[in-house]
Amino acid sequence: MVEKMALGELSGIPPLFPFQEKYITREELLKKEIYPPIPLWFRGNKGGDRMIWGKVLVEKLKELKVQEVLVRKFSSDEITVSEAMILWTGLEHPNEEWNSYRMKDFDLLPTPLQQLVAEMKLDLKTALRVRNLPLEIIEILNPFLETLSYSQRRIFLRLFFEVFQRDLLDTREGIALAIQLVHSSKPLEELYQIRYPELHRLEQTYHATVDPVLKGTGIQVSPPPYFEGARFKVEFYFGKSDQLKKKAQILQKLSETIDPVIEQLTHDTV
Amino acid sequence: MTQYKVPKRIYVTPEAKTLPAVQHALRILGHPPYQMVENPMEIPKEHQNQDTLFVTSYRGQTVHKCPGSRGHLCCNYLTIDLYLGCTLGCTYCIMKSYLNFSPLTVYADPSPSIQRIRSLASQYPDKAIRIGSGETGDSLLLDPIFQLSRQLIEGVSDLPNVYLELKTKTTHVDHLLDIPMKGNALIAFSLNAREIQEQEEGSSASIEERIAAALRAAEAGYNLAFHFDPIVRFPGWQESYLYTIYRLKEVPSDRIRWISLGTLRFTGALRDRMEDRPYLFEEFVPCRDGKYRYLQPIRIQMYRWFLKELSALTNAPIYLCMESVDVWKGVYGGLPMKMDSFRDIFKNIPCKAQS
Repeated sequence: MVEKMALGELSGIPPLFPFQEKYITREELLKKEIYPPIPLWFRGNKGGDRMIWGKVLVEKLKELKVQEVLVRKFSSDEITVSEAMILWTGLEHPNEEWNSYRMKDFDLLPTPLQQLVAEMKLDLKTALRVRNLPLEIIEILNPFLETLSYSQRRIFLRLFFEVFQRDLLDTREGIALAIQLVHSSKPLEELYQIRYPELHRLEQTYHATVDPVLKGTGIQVSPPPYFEGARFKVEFYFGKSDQLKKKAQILQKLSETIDPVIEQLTHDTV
Repeated sequence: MTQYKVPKRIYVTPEAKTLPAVQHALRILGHPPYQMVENPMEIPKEHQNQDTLFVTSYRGQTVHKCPGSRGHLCCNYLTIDLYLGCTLGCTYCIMKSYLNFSPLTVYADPSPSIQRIRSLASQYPDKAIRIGSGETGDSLLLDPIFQLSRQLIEGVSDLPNVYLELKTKTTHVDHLLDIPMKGNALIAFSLNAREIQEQEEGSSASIEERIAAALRAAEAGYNLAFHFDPIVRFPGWQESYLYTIYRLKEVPSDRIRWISLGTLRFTGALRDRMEDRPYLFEEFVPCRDGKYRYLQPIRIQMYRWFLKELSALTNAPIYLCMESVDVWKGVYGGLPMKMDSFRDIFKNIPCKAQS
């Protein structure tokens, strides 16, 4: 997840690799935070955070009196040294070439996306990824996009573009989808369902089994995230033994029907 | 037929210049001009790409443990780096993402690796040591030029507990066929659906060519291994993979030592750097190691299918690469360490960094 970190704090973090990158974005872009978040690698008790790249960028931001910097933290469980190297080498370009490359990318964007980037409502990377969406579609989505948070906006655009590509939609079909979504009561949820139909089906199966038994009982049973794994979590509160007995009875009832559903959700599909 | 691209330029470090492998390579390549550099940092930025060949002797640790993946079962494979980088151009390749800005590197002196393997073999005489050179590059892509695998095979051929695996997507086996003492060396082939090979695996050999190369290797006395990795889900995937499995029937089944299965996986950071290929529009979810995989029930379903089809073909162990405990249980009903056929494969070989 991209987050902000005080520049002072970031300055004290040592680099992971002994060599130094030369990448610096142009000053006016830096002021608008148009640069990839600086990746940090958290090595746990092996030595805390290390900066994968961005030391030179941090120095430049200091000169510009920037107070906070966008960073993305990776844990050593999430990323290996080789993968950290990937992040580093991917950005290791000679200074001028890289800057002009980024500016050329910015120039490639259609005006509505350029505007979102310039207003810091969208990151350049997402804008570049979805730039081939027909302009008419972006214009239909734009008022709705304004109502979303920064991260929701990124997710929505990415999902929409993935569906557009996956389903080989033409402009007319894309417009129809855009109109359907902006008139939906829950556009983001609906888009998720379209993009991830199998995951949505698993969720529906789960709720169809669990919700009727647990509705109004104060017991919450959570499946493993994305149905990855096979551990379900039960949560409830009680204050007296008879309350606990009641909850146990409800769970007993659930236990009698849940095995085939667990099997289906975590081990097999229809 | 060769699948390698002739490098546009070559850089060599001084100590590597006189190595037999380097002399051999320069001869095969027709004595091209090359430049001497002390280290890769001296290679100009504009040459830091896979069109450049950088040849050096080995520096640093010679044998590594396969890094594994948090929350997923690892088969305790050991790796050695001979070739770093690959020009085959598979669209799903992790290496492609980070080595695009690095020269193709050859560590042209395998003798320290051989010494290290010999030391591990005598340290753990009762354990099967599975070790391969295909982790950071294709084991055989550049091997006809440098012949490093020959040195490796010959260097460990007398060790009964060492299984040296040379993993490839090429047909480059002919230069290895006449080695008299092969020991337990295996030639391993990555296999995929024909459509995936044609559309996503760049200049790799076709499935038919790989099977033909496997047959030549088997006829010359090598054992074989096959890796269905990454298994990709797409409309008609079963029929398409069945074709490959059908072709695999041409290989003598008693020569197959193991088969591994692994569905497509990638980190979020890498996804951002991959092209938008059709296979990425499937449903991927984050797993405990931070990598994205197909939904667990779908993976289990796919693995069960492969297991059923491949079990009809061979009695060799068919194991999962980088999969979770729950997937193992869903596919096999148990964990590999508790199953006779997998115990040797999944036995841990302690392999600490050398001082």
